[in-house]
Amino acid sequence: MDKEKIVVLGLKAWFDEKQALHGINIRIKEKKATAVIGPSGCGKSTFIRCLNRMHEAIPGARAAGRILVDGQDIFGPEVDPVLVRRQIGMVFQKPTPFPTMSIYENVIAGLKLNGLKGKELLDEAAEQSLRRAALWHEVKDDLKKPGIGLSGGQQQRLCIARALAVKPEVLLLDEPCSALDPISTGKIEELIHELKNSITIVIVTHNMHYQFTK
Amino acid sequence: MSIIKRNKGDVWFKTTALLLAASIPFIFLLLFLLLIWQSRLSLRTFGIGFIFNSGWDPVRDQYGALPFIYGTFVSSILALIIAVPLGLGCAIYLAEVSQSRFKEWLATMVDLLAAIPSVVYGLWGLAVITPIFGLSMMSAGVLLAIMILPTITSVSREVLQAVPLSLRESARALGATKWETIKLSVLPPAASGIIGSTILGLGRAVGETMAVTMVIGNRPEISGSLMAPAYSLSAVLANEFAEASSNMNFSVMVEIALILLAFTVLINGVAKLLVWKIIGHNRIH
Amino acid sequence: MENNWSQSYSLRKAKDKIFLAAVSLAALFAVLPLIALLLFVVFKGAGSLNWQFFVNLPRPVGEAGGGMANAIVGTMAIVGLASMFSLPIGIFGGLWLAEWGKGKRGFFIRYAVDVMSGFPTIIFGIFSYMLLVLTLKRFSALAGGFALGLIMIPYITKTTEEMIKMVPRTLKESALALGVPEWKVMLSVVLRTAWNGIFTGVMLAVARAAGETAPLLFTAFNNNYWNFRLDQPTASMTVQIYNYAISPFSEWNNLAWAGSMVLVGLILFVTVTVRKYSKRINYG
Repeated sequence: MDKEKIVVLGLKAWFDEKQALHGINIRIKEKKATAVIGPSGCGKSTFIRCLNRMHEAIPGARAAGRILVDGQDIFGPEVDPVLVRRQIGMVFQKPTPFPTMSIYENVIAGLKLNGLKGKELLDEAAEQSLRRAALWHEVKDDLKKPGIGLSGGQQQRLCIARALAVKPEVLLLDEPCSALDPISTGKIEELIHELKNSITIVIVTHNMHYQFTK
Repeated sequence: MSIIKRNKGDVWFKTTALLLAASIPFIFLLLFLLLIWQSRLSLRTFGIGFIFNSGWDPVRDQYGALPFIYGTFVSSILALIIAVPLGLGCAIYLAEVSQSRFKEWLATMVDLLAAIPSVVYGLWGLAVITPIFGLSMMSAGVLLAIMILPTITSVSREVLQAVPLSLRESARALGATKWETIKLSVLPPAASGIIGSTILGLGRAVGETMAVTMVIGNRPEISGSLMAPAYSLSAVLANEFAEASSNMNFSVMVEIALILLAFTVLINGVAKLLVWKIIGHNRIH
Repeated sequence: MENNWSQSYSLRKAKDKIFLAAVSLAALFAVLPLIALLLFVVFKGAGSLNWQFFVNLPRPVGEAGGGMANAIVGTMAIVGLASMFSLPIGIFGGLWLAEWGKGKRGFFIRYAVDVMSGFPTIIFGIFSYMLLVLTLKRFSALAGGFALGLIMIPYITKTTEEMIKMVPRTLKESALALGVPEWKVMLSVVLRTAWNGIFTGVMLAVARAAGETAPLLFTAFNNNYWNFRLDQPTASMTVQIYNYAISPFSEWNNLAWAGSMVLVGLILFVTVTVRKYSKRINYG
């Protein structure tokens, strides 16, 4: 039987007075890719943002219910949202490399935040993440170049590498390909196929023919 | 009914509007030309040395602008040293940290600071600041700091808010704390705009007249101590322009006005360039 | 989870809290001077404010009951003159820029407006001195009005241009489609629609001009008596406050506070009201 990584129980969410989620119950399997599909405005993004406690970072937004990750409720009173986000990473719709940083600096940004020091460790982590994001071969000689100099699809893979660098156990993707061309989209879909073998994936997508069940 | 005749009213209207609009650059040019013309005696007599000379004795026809330039810049930079950390901190607070009604109230308060007349600042400075620091460069610097605070805060705030939300979220999602998010994803892109706001503040401080002349002591001497009285370009204009005794004196005063104007225009020009760079094309990322 | 993080998480959290405190403190200190200033103005001003202030002329030191009546009227007159001069130029200038001066065509005008808005205001006083005081060989309200008008023009122009740009093209086009000549459309449709916004810009410019001192020092100069002629030196609140403030006499200093209270009260009232009003416009 597949292990459950995340169990969502009765999740409700509001933006000020407007209720966006009315009691979601879902079980997300470990090391599989779970796709969240639905019409525009039905709350997919809101849902996924609750999973790493980003939803409540919006002024006026609240959430209620229980979300158990490996059995621990991330809404628990002693739980620090900042630590949750280390374990549950996120990639957004629009590629957002930090504009003043190089490719290398972008990838290790999360690591440096968490205090990882030592050039060798950082270099190794950067290469590992870029390989996992299927970007290493394209940028390995240009690591010092600015992150925003890459194409859209490459930037998005850079963001994936950046998210992967802190070794989260879950990766959330909010329509990661909607701003990209079909070829880049294909590359990223393949990449997600690969990733799901090592990390739990939850992806919001419009793409109906996306195969993810295996 | 002819449909061919051009409506005369239109021509009149457009012409009048254009004339009125064009009067602005006309006045602008006239102002510059008049200033240069009226200062020609002084310019010819003293040349570039005027800026570096520090003797000031109108009675004996001794003139040098250095004490005023010194006073203007030292007091302004002093003001920046105080106002930039406070103003930037306040801007970050308003743009990134606070929520709710309190924020709007605070922002309004800071803006109201900008509406208060310079002479009232001076009066208040005489009551509150000079008892502590005396009539001195220091008093002028502190008072100026308060006066340029709204400029630095509001422009920095605009610049910070122009940084796209998505960048902040990316940092947040990496598990950054609030401060780390700001340091990582908001401040670097906003940096040149913040420098621009600082320079704008400098421009305002340099041009400030009444408050400065009321607390700076109005002594045309360069001293090493900040607690000593000093003078500034705008202050000497306020005090001595109307009392220019000779043609030379008058011409010198006009040249001082020209120098003040040149500094202000230069500083403001640089500042605007930096700020427009950020606020102008930010919607890309 | 791996743990070669050399900086412990609690240190990061501590830094975060320190940052929050520092920034909140900065915001507090930024507001403190304003509060202190307003408190001073209110308390010291209220003590010296009485009906005589509004009705009497200035009196020599030692005589009680001096007032600023002529200065109040003087400010109104000078600002009134400034408005008469600056409104046509500012409003029609802004209109021209918005309608016919887009892009490069309006470059010189926009540049002049922009640069002039940053001038130290004393420069306008000097300019007015050279044009009007030297030529007429006397200080005058006219010269003061001219100087203040120059200060007001950039504000009014910028606001007008912005407000007119906000008027939807479709509105103008529907009027034109009815066969109304363009100039009438400009006046009765475009200007009329943008008027609220333009008015707020004008009021803010007026408030700003009323608070100026330096440009009046050697244009309108000062006057201890009533003056109703435009070509004579005229008292103004700001200059009078300045003179009283720097004098060594405490009665006069008190009058300076009283004057400040009235002036600041008026200016803040206008500024706050106008801002509230203009917030409503932006949704409309």
